[in-house]
Amino acid sequence: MRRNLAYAVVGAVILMLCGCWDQQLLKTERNVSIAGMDPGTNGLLRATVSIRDVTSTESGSKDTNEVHSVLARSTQHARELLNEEISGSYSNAKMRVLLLGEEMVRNHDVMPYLDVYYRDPKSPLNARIAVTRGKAEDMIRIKMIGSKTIGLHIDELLNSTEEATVVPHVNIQTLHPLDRGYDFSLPYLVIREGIPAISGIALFSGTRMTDTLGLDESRLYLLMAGLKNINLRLTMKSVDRNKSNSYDYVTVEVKKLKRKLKVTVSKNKQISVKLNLKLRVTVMEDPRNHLYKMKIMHDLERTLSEQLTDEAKAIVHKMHRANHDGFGIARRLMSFHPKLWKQLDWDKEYPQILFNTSVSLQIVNTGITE
Amino acid sequence: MIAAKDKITPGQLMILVIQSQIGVSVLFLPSTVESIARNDAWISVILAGGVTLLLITIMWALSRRFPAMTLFEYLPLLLGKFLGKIVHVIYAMLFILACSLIAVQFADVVRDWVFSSTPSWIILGLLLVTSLYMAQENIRLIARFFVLTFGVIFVLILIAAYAFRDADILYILPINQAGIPNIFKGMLKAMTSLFGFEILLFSYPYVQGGGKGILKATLFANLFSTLLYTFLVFTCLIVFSPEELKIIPQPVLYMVKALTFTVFERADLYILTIWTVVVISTVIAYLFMAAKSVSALFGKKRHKGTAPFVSIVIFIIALIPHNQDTTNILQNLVAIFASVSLAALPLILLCISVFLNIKGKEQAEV
Repeated sequence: MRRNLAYAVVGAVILMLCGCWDQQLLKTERNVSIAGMDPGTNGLLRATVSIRDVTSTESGSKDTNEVHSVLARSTQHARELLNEEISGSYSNAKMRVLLLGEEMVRNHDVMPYLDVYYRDPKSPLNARIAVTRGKAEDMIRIKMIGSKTIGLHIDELLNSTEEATVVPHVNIQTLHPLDRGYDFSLPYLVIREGIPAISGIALFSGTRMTDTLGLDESRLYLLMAGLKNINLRLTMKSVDRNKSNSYDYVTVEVKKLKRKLKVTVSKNKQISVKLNLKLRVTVMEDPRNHLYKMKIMHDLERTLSEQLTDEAKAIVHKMHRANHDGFGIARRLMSFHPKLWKQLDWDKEYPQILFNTSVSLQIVNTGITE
Repeated sequence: MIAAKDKITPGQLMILVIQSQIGVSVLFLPSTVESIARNDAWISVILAGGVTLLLITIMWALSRRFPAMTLFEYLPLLLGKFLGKIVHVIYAMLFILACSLIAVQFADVVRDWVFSSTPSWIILGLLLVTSLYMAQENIRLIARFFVLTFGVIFVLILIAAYAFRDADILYILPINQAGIPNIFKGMLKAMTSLFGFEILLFSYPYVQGGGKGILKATLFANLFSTLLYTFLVFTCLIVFSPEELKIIPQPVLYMVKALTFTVFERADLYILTIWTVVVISTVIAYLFMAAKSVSALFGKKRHKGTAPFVSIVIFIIALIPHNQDTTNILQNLVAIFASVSLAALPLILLCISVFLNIKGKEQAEV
């Protein structure tokens, strides 16, 4: 009996020791919370990381962080170099955000630098990606905002703006841009008075950034792409577009979005796209207080619809110029017109596609006052 | 005669077959079939299920003629002593090699995804020792264990279904892009993952009730496995674009890797844990069949004594492949053995049995 117990204990200990080959102790790891990539000199990569530390004192725990930059040949090489600079071993398994400097994505192909993220089983595929105006390094060097570290701040900033449908939900995994049949767009960050802020989205053509959209445009762009998240608010002029009076603005929240996207190919191979949006909205703010009259309500619906249609057309125009196929027209052609797709030179064809965009809006309710 | 207390119910048989069919290829199947049949891979899997249906029916028709015997008891009756032994050896080789292949693939995935520096002999050893413990027992206990662990397959389905969040149905269009020949080639690839139904040859005399009930249970099992595989392949096809599937060998793991639930991260580790149970049941089934056939080869009635030696042989074979090439050789070898002994041989044996009118002497009691 005793002897059997001893065997069992020894057996169990030996079994558990098998885990020691792959042990990684949290206390020896330094976790990166945010990383940035900028082009360096001579085709090298300037990588910047912020490593988060939690120091606990008598008055509670406090976040601190340290920032390191290296000039490396590749992403993995940057990790090796960083490992030679920091105490403990480098780990990016808990990374939350990856920032790409604007110059990096405008003039260089960023995909080779991302390869290691897709290859390593421990890599943070759910880390968010964003583009920064200027250098990513400058933004990471801000280090702390209030009591929050920069990584946490930007992650939460992106999260809340995703929920408000200002920027698209993108992480390293969903980015993987291999022959998807549409172009992606990323959140665009700027430093405003020393603090990182969202200024819209960056449009990509293939893997190169080509243009940006402002905050109002990006909301409508996401509506047109059918990517409405939890809520979406639009503030627009309610009467005359050329006057400015603080009474003339109305804010609506989109409750329901119906989107119809139809790609048709005519006999002479002219591709045309019909994009129809139907919005059901709630009025959140309307200082004029006239909405109890049905006529005014319908007038408002009409003006807003017209405004949105015009803006939508402007966005399509911008996308054409940027060669950015954010609505997945290419995917539809691949799926429904595979023969035509094989003959097309997509980069030349895309700007010539006819878009027929229209937005119609319907007010469902107006809050607890009319 | 088999005592009533050693028998299993048709329901247990169904789960026995499902658990032997569903194995390592849960992870591999989508990309192996996709590499040939492109975005029509799901059609290939359904077709493979149809062909397996046919093979099962042949196997069942053969077993029905010898209702109280297992394969190795009636082999000499049909083929004579010498030829019977040769066929017997082919079957034994198939089970040993197939089991080694499963072990090799398991160790590879575990190395790539979780334990990169743990030596593979540890992983193989743990897998085989655990399976051996169960495989030494009789079919009734194995069936009960399989019923017990059957639930984990549904957890697998649930986690995979969550990936529909990132799905785009347009990826499977246009249908029939790959062309009929490629769909059929893909079907042949998909067939290998549905193997495991041969456990019917060993369990037939142990099942309660008549032949019809057994056929029904096995066919249902096959339907379930086919649907599960089709679901997984379909999910992977609509989550990943064709270009991505080309470079991702285990797409099921990859697609859940980025999922974050409120508390849990790295859903791939949960899938791997569940998958380990699924693989162990397949290894148990194959180890059982291998041990049975080897012990019958040496004229032993019980397989308990042979099982450890068989698992040592499997362990040694599984240690040999060190690169993709050798694994591929093993894979092709198993495919050849399997097509001979699961498709060709049962049909030949059935023909011999029917035309020479050789039948089992005793009927199974109902």
